Amino acid sequence: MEKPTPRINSSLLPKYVDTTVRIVGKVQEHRGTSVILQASDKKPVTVELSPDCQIASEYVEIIGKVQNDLKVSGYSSIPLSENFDLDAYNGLVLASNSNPTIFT
Amino acid sequence: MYNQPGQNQGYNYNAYGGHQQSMQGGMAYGAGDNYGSGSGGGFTASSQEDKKESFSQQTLRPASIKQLLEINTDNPEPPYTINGEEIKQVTVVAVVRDINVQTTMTQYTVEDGTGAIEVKMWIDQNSPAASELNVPLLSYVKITGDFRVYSDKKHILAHSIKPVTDHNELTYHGLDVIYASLYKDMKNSRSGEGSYSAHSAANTAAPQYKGNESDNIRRVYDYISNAPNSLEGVFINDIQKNIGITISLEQIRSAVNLLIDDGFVYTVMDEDHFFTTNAGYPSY
Repeated sequence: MEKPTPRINSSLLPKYVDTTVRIVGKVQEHRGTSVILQASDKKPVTVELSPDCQIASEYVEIIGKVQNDLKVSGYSSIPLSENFDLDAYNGLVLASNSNPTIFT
Repeated sequence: MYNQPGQNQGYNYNAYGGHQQSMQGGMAYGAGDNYGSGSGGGFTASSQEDKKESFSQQTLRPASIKQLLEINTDNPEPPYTINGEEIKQVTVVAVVRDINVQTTMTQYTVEDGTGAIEVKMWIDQNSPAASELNVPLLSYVKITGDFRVYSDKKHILAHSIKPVTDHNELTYHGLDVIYASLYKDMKNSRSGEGSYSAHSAANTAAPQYKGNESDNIRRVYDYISNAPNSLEGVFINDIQKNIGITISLEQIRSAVNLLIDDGFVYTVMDEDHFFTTNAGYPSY
């Protein structure tokens, strides 16, 4: 956890290949060992689960590494409350990416 | 009674505090309901300067952990600054990654995506049960505490660690951090009004009388407000003589009484001498 994990959404995935990121989303579909989330920009992202990264809530924050195929290999997950406002969070994603000195 | 848009008890308190200081505590005045329920109408001897100092120490700065880790501690003594602004207490919202309970304190490692920092919290010896905080691993908490440096190690000495139950707090805190960090630049580009810790700077502004009742009240107020500085206040007969309109003492008194009731004017050495709460009082 020494390196910063930028908060991103689905559209920002290509910028962060091979980087450990935080991505928040709403669970859309379980597919075996993967889960499809709707990220805060309303676009899908595929998260590959691991023993330390299981999902048991509707809204979740994933910390994981962005693969070349833009899937996220999940390292850990944090359940979020059911009233989570994805739109507002997307505002934070955009604002934090335009003010990188504060966060990364 | 007329409306007093924008009247703020805190403003009055400060304005009066200034007078109290400049008058060297020599006046007593009948505090009505206007002086704020919390203060009970009593104006203690605490000077405005004391107040400003304690305000600057009471700032509560939302921060990212990265900002805390970047604080320059070459001089290990406080004050510490973020973007050149002095900080004391900070809030962070972060995920608990490690908990280490010791005899007298609990030590946490928390991480918010920008960095990781140690958080220490004393265990309350009087009620250790209350100190057994329900802080679960791998979940978000909101921490309020003092930024400290101990043998070159930066940490937060927490006053409060609360589990985040509504995770919109994450969004809110993140945006708050950005706002607090950009505020200074925004402020500078607007040629500086107040500081992020608005309650110290903004509240020193004196109340503006906005009564829209009669012209008499307005004129009386303006006259008192613009009268030359004096220790004893503006004499009612001088108001009548110099105000530039024909007005009876009774009219002045009724205008002044309204202004007093609403906290814009107060009596000084007797019932016939007045100051406004934002008068240009002597600065000694």
